[in-house]
Amino acid sequence: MPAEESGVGRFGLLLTGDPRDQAVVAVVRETYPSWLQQPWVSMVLRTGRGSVLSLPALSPRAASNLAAKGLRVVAIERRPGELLLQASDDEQVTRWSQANIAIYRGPTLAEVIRPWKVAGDPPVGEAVFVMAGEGAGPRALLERLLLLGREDARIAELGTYVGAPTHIFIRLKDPPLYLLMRARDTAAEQTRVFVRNDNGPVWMEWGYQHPLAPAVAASATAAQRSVWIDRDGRWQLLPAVGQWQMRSLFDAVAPELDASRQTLEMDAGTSRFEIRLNLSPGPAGEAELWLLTPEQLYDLEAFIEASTSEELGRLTVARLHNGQEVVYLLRERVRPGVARVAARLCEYLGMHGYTRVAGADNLYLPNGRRLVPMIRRDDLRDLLQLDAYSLVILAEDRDGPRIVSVGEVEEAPLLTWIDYVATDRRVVLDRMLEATVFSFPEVTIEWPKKVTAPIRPPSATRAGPKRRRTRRAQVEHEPEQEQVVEGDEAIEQTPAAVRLRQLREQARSLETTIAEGGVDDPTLWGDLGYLKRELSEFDEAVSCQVAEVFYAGANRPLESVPELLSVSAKVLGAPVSSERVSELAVRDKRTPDELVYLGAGVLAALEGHLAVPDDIVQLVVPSFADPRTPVPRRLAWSVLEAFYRRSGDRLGMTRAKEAIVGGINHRGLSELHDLPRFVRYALALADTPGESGPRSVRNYVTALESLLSAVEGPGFEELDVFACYARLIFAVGFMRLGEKKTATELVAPVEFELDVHERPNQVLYRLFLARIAHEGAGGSAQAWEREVEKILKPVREPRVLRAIHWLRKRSLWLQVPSDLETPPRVRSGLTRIFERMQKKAGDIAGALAGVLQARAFYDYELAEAIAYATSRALKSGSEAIIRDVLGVSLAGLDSIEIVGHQAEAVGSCLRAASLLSDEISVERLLGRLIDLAGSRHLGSVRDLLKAVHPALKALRRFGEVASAEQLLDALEGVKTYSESGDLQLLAATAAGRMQLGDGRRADTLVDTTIARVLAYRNDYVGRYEAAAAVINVLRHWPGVARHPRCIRFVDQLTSFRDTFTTGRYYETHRVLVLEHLVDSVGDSETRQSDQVQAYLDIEEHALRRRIIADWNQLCGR
Amino acid sequence: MWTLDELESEIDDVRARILTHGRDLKEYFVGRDTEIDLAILCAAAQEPLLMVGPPGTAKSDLVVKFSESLGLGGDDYFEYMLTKFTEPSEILGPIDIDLLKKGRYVRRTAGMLPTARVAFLDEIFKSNSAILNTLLTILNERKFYQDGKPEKVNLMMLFAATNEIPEQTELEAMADRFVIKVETNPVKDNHFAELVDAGIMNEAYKATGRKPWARGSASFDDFLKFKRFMDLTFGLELTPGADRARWFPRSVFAEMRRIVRALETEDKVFVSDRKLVKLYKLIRIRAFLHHGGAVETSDLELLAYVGNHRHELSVVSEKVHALLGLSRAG
Repeated sequence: MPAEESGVGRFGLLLTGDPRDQAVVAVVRETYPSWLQQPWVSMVLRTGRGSVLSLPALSPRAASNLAAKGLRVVAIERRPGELLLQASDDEQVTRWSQANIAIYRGPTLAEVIRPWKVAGDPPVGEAVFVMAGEGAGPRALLERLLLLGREDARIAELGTYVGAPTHIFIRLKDPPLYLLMRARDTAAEQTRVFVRNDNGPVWMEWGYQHPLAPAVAASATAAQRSVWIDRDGRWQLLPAVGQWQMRSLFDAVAPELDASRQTLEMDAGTSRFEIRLNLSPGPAGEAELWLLTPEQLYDLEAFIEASTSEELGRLTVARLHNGQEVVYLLRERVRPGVARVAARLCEYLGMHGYTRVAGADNLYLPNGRRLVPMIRRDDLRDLLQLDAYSLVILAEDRDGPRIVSVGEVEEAPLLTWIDYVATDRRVVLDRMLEATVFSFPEVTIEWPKKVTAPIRPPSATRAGPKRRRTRRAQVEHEPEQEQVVEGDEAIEQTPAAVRLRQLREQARSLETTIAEGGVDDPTLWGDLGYLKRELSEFDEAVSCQVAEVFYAGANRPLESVPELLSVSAKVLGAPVSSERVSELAVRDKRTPDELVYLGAGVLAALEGHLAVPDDIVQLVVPSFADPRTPVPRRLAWSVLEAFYRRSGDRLGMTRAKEAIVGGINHRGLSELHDLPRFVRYALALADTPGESGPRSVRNYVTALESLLSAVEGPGFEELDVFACYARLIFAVGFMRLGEKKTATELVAPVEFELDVHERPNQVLYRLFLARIAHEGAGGSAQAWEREVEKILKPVREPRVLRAIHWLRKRSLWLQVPSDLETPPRVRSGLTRIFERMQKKAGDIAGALAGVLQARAFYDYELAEAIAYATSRALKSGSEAIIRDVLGVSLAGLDSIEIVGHQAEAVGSCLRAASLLSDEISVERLLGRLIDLAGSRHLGSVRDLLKAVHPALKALRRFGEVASAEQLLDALEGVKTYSESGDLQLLAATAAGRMQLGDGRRADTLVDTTIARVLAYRNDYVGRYEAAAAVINVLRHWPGVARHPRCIRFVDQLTSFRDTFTTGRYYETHRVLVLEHLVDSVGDSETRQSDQVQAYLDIEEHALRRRIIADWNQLCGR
Repeated sequence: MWTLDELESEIDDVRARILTHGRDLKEYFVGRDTEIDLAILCAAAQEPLLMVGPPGTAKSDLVVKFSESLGLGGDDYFEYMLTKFTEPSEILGPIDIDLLKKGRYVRRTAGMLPTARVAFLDEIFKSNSAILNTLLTILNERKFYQDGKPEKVNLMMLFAATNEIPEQTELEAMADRFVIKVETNPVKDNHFAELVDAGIMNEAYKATGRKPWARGSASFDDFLKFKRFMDLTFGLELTPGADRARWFPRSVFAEMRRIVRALETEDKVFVSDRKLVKLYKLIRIRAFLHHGGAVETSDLELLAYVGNHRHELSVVSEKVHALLGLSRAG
């Protein structure tokens, strides 16, 4: 053995070159720890993985000891050219050729021991690619890294590694396995990869593992060095990686692009390109200007009738012509703070109008359109020649945009164009009639004694089947009975006049009967229709004939439908013709009178009296099933019933029934379309007994003036805050009653002194002023919401805003009404279920059952769900669906634990049960409601009232008067935990009594309540709430009965105090009570509505009965 | 059956015809070159091809036109849309009642999958386990059981389509049989006008009953000859590694190994042992088909279609093309 073999001892440890060697090292370290730091020799077999570790200190005894611990110890015998290895437990000798042996020496065991290969291609956490700086390796690797997008690689150059002058180190976290394998497989690139997984100082060549790496890591870290061990076990010590000067990948790259170069110079461009401007959808605003044809100008009549002179005063008209035709330019002069009329005007005209373009004073575009693409204003000005004309309107028709340029324009107020306004608006006529009837003392006219024979046959004859022939015969013979009479006495003795008087008497008699409600005798309606026709009161004749056709059903006399068609044609001023019916059928918009004519025409066609094409009939009929169609429900049903009866379509009939009944359930009958005008008069006459005084708008104004006088006393103090509020509140009341002048005079001092008041009061005054304008303009709830938003927008200070909102949210008039169609307070999960209910009526009960069983919703959500499901079921018009929903709701009531919410749900159930005339359920629910009212867990009376109000309304509406009285009896006995609650409940029951017609009991109750409210001193808030409740229900009393009761509150107005922080600005409760008083005294509608509603309630029952009967007739049930 | 000697003399012509056949077919589709190339390759190798994509991406049209271009019709072509309610009798044929009365359980297979030479199964993973098990046997062993006895099926080429590749364990065995899975995505974004033009032409062909693609350059026999030649070549030298040493250069093989390992390790794309062998075979066949000789690095593009699940397909494709780009660059 050569000299360099010195250091090889007599014994050695046999290693296998795999993880088993770890155990050998561990045993040695444990048994002879000092050996680790002694110089070892490793003899490695080049042709295999085995090796022998030798140490001179390895004595026979130590060898024996290690063998006993399971290590493979061999005796080493050196022979020329070979090495003999003999294991202690094996007689067989292993021979290693010297030529195949590589010998490594090192000062420690760690530096001598060989790394072993790891199976497979292990992924690693961090790698350093090491390569010579001059070779092909760095360029290839950098290119690959760039292609893979690994810009996170860092590069260092170190001067000494394995004797080379400069080596490139490329460090990469989470290196791609492909690059590791590629470096290993491509020897030509001479790239070695060292990896580590633990952030330690030891870097092993990739694919190898060293058994003593963890042992040297600690010492290397302490020395701030990094240890690099290659596959052959060679060690290299380098500075710790953290100390290297690393560069970015891009700093090491000198990019090249093999491309020819071209340089461009700036050139002053003069090219112009034609860009076509177009109108496209844009934000919709409020139109300011309209271009009208003469016909469209005349169509403004309806608008003019419905508008105030102040509104009309803001409109101007100019007459223009283009050489061929006349065009009218209508413009609304926009005034700040004044409600616009543009929306109403657009609706009347059926056109969008034009809006001024921001930034261009005289350019107008169609409302809801904008010019695209946007160009510079100067270009626009040049293009459209805006400077050359006073107005430029960019109109649009089917051919595209059209520029309308207006040169000189002289606009005159619209008022100057109005000479005479003829109106047939019923409300106006009603008021005129009321004024006529009630403003003069009763006049008795003595008619001459000489009369002709009665024109109407006796009732016995009327009931006979030949009634129509009799009537026609009379009409035909009338001219023959005329006599020519001369002289002064002749006026009184004219048979025609006498006959007219008789007709009126007969009509009045029938009207009185019908005004009691529920008259379903077609003969009676037919007779009154006949009389109305004879009296030339055609619109009322139409109402009667529609009712006759409806109640007679399939058995109606042959001539009833032609008569209806004839009289509706007279109302319309049109001839009876199939062409006219067809023309109306295809028109986009139709007035109610036209719809009645159309309905009568379709009925006539279905009965063979009129030759209307079948497809026209089929086109029209579905529109009568839509509850929004402004036509009497009776006529709608008659049309649908006749259509489906003719075709024998049971399914269609069922759907029609559900549509009509559902519409009635949901909306009730229409005061405008289902209430004959004479019934309104009859109700007004019946409600005006001599001792109560007349009822007219004038009287409400007088009552309000009286109330103002009581509040004002000797006069309002200047700059007094409450006086300002009082002025504003009364101004709202007067404006509601059409007394604009009074309202303006009242608020003038407030407007004048606005700036001297505190900031919150200033804003609140402005809100009241806006409300006054809003009441005058008759704007919508949305318009009011926008107005409030506009006034509050500039207010930024939280303190001021708090004070404003405090009053605004409590005020009757200043608050913004919320949309009640969809309950806003439920969570999104329930909203989705509501949408499902809305889409498919058949699923309502199932969906509700799911909600009630889910146990995922709060009590208030369950109550909302029952309310919503009931409402949708009623709207469906299907009794089966209503019954299903009621059943589910009743079963689910117990799942609501909070008493108030349960009461709310009971109210919903009562609506459904009374509609189905389910007396047992109604009785049970009433009992339940009474129990809930008496419950000691009842949160507040407010929750109970949530149920009482709908329950009373439903019971009354569906004719369950007895049940409603029973409920009221029970509620009167309920004692809540607070005086305020008791009083609110009493007020509600008093209102209920009044609406049910028990005036005496109602008077007693309300007077008692008022006395208790005024005597109630402890709780300011409760006292105010009780007062507000009582004052609100007073509106159900006749005007004259309201006034003295309201004066009692005015006398005690100063006692409505509060202790809130806003008290430094205003007295909340005093202001609010006054607002309630004015609202109640100036309410001319509620009382009348109660009367009308009572009539419509009764009518509704009659309608429903008839519809069900017709449906049963065809559908065999 | 053809011998190697017989085939050697005409194999280059066969190759050329098959390649021309594929090019011709591409004229009737827009943006479906990859799908057609893979269909031709799988048909030549008689390996099943799975097309994965939403409805309306020409999957069915491609297979129908391909089978028609081979002049196949009647009982040679079988097409069926599978649902979970599909019964084995719907694809294997109804039970012969007369024989059943005699105690034999035999299906009447005429015109059904066992007698077809080319088949297209739409929504293959929506079928029930009875169908899937039968299909597995057919795919693995090219046979099915009649009255308890195995019977050979004629099926040479199987194409299948699906919207989604399910991840249920019981379906993975079937999915693994499809070594190549290609995504068929809508092409309207890149080929709007061409798509409309080609679509209208197809409508016109349909309306007039014309099928110009039916005059394909290659015949069904050409595909069979090619497959036969490849089988004979694989077994030419019955020494392990001989085929690889001759046809698969060491550097390209190392590249294949690197890519497969990178996919497995970094993207967790499982490549089963069976699939690896099939991949080798397919890459070899692709190389021979396209350039008549040893495998080149470009042939490894086939690895872009080894993804197992829907979400893997695009990832694998992107990765393989990126790594092959490195290979060409380096």
